[in-house]
Amino acid sequence: MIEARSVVKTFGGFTALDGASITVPDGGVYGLVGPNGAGKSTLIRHLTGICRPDSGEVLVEGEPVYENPEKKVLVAAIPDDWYYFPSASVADMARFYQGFYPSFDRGRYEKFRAVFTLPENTPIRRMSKGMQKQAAFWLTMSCRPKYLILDEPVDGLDPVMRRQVWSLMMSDVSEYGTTVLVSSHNLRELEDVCDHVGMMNRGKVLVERSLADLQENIVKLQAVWRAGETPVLPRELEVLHTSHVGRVYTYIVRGTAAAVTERMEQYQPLMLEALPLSLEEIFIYELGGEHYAVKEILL
Amino acid sequence: MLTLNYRDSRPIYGQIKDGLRRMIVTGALEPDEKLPSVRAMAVELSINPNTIQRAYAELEAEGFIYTLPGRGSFAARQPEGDPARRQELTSRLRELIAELKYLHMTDGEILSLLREEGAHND
Amino acid sequence: MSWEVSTMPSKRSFFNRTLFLKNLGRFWPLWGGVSLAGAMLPLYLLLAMLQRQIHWVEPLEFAERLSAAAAYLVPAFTCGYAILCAMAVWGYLCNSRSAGMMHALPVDRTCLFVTGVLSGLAMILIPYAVTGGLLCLIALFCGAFHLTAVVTTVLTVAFAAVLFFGMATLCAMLTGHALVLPVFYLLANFLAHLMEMLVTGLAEDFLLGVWMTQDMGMLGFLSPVMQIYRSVRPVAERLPDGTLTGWRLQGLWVLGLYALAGLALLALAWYLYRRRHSESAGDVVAFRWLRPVFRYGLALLSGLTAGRLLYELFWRSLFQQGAYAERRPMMVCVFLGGMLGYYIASMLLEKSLRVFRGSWRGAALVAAGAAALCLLVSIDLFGVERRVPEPEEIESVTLLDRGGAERPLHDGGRAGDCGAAGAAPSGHRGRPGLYPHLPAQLGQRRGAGLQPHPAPDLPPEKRENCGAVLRSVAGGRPGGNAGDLRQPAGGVLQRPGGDSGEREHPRRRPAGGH
Repeated sequence: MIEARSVVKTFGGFTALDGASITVPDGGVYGLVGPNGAGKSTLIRHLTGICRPDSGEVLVEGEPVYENPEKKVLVAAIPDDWYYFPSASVADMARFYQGFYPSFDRGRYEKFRAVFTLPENTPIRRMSKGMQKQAAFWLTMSCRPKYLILDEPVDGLDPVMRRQVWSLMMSDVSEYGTTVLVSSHNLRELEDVCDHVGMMNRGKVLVERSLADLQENIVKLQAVWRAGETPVLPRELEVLHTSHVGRVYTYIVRGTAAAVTERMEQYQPLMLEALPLSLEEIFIYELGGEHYAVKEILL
Repeated sequence: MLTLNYRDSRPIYGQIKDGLRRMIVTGALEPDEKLPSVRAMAVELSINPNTIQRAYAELEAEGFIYTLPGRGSFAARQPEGDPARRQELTSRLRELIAELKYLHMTDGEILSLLREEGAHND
Repeated sequence: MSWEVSTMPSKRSFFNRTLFLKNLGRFWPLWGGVSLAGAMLPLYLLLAMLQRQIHWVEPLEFAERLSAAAAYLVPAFTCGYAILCAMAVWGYLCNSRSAGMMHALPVDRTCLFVTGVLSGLAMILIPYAVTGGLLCLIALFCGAFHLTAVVTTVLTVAFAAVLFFGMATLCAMLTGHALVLPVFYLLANFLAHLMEMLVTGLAEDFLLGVWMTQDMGMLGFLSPVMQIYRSVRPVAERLPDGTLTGWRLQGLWVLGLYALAGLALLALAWYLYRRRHSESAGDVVAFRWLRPVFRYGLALLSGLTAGRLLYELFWRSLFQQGAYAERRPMMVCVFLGGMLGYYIASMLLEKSLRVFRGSWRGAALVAAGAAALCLLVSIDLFGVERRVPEPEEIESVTLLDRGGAERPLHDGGRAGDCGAAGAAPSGHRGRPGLYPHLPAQLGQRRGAGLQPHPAPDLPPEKRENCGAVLRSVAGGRPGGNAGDLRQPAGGVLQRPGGDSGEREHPRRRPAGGH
């Protein structure tokens, strides 16, 4: 299990992390989402033991990860700016990683060659960005880490490669119980692969729940009221958002579909329908507010 | 085996459940036929195995499948009536009937539909 | 693979073989190129010997030449080469991507440090091993092999490597910018000299008779290269016909002490590395507490250089009255020069051009510093101007003309060109040329009458006096006594050669009671 407890980190005058706490349970896929500049990359740098928090703790399997080789060896990461030695090829980097990670699996490395179809002995710097990303996956997954941390992982990969990469990771999750932490903007994709989600904004983790929990406890209701009888909904109904097009009202409400539908039925709508929300919509409405929302600006 | 519609707003595990249910109900999955393993499905569809696990668990609760430890999951025979599921489908049916009637379908036409389906199953 | 220190369950490795080999592999052009160049020397020697059909070389000759090379070449070369090796090995700290990767690896900072130091030392020692090995081979073949010389040379090389790589590593830990590292290293090696030059330069402007010299006195050890050059010398004992009878390398212990200092610097660097933040990659200074040091240090250097330049250009040439700098204008110029350095340092630290806001506190400090510095130097705390050497202390007197060129006294003492007066007590390792009391006694402080250089301003009677005293000192005129030295004279009272041995004039010893 990976944990961050009230991590505070300041760079110069800028507070990148302001008491961020996350808990990543074992054997699952955790999605870390948030707007740009929320602090996701900074948090990831703490989880991999690169940065030391100003205050708070970052723990892997209960021990602080900073300057702790025994725990760091369980963690492998692909940051958004993955580094390779200037004239190194994939084979060179493989030899390098093999010298640090006892869990580096040569057999896997050989098998992945068929998947990634990259030239093994060409300098990585000569490859396109997408190919470099693939090389990063090839090498990191060959290390067979217990915890795999990815920062914007599939940016730049073509659709076939994306599926391929996720497929490999899902196989590891079910076969070896690998824990994966993914930071991404692509919520459409994360929705398929995550079972836990953490939402960050401004250096804090605002919401952290299992995906099932999130999906079951927020519902989109579409209702049509009788003319002139549009009810004013009470505060305890926790309506996050209201909008209407003509006479069709759409409400985003916190609560299970069944419970909310029951309450809305009391107002005797002409039509009432409960719909699930996509992760993208949940993100937008959970984080919405004056500080961060989609503004309807007509230019 | 299953295809997912990624643009569908329904959660993934819901789509998996629906897909598997449809296959069992229509007979594409015969009773006692082995379902694909969680891992195989995760790899094929590139989705989280825990999600698939959840879908399987709920289908088992609804009585559509059964699991033998160490052996996998299998399609169940004619499942017993699951009240929650029946409730869900009944209300959906009501909506569909309402819409059909709005489109000027008569009661007689709806009843004949029922008779046709009944003939299929026998 | 990593070496484990113990076989206990919680193993801690201090060295990582993969990283070590990777460092050597990545930078082979550096140490390989230097090795190749170094191998040229033995090759040349071999060819020369073959060409002249020399088959036998006396071991002592070999020893003597080898130790000469060790004493003169090794320190300077290692000084320059060590920083290149350090830039290679510690370069990853200067780039956030590479620093991130290295610090995410499952090794702790100590392991990275030890592996880096060993990589750097290996890169320094390999070319020496190649060159030295070849030389030894050649020596073996022609019977010239002298074990002690070889061992001494090996020690010299090792000590120099530890010293200079230690200095370079410490510099590397203090900065996060690849180009700043060699600058810090240069400062580390020569800052003492530079400061001495700059402060003496300022003193020269204010005080009469201050002379810039090469001799740093007690603080000479702060510049290792130069101290080593002074202290470590091969000494050969020869018979009158030139045959070599003995040889030794003098001062190796100095180098040994420096190596110990190098180890201490490495220990300090290790401590700093463990405290350093990964995110300091790319910053000019890697620690917050170093920022004011950098800022005000650069202000100081800039004040003493640009400030004085400003003074030269705009005040001395236009407004200055007299031969000496005026305190207040100099303070202003030093302040302005200092602010230039302050702003440049701030721009480098903030990585932005907008550093002027809120800088009044810094400006106040720089102003105070400039004022204090000028004040302290100009009031002549140490009585440099007033110092009068005892007659016994004076070896010789030399006249300087306007251009600062020296004229021997027996020239008749052309008093028309009284130059700066200075005297150094003989037999004293202190600096020559520092006792300019003579015009002072005339009440010639600043701007009136006798000036250090332009002779025509000297009133005629003073010129006479100048010449009289010089003649008296030179010739031991009867009745001459210490008091005569207090007469105006423009001459350099010279101490004999000794260590600096820079000037060679006819030496005149004052006879009698002088």
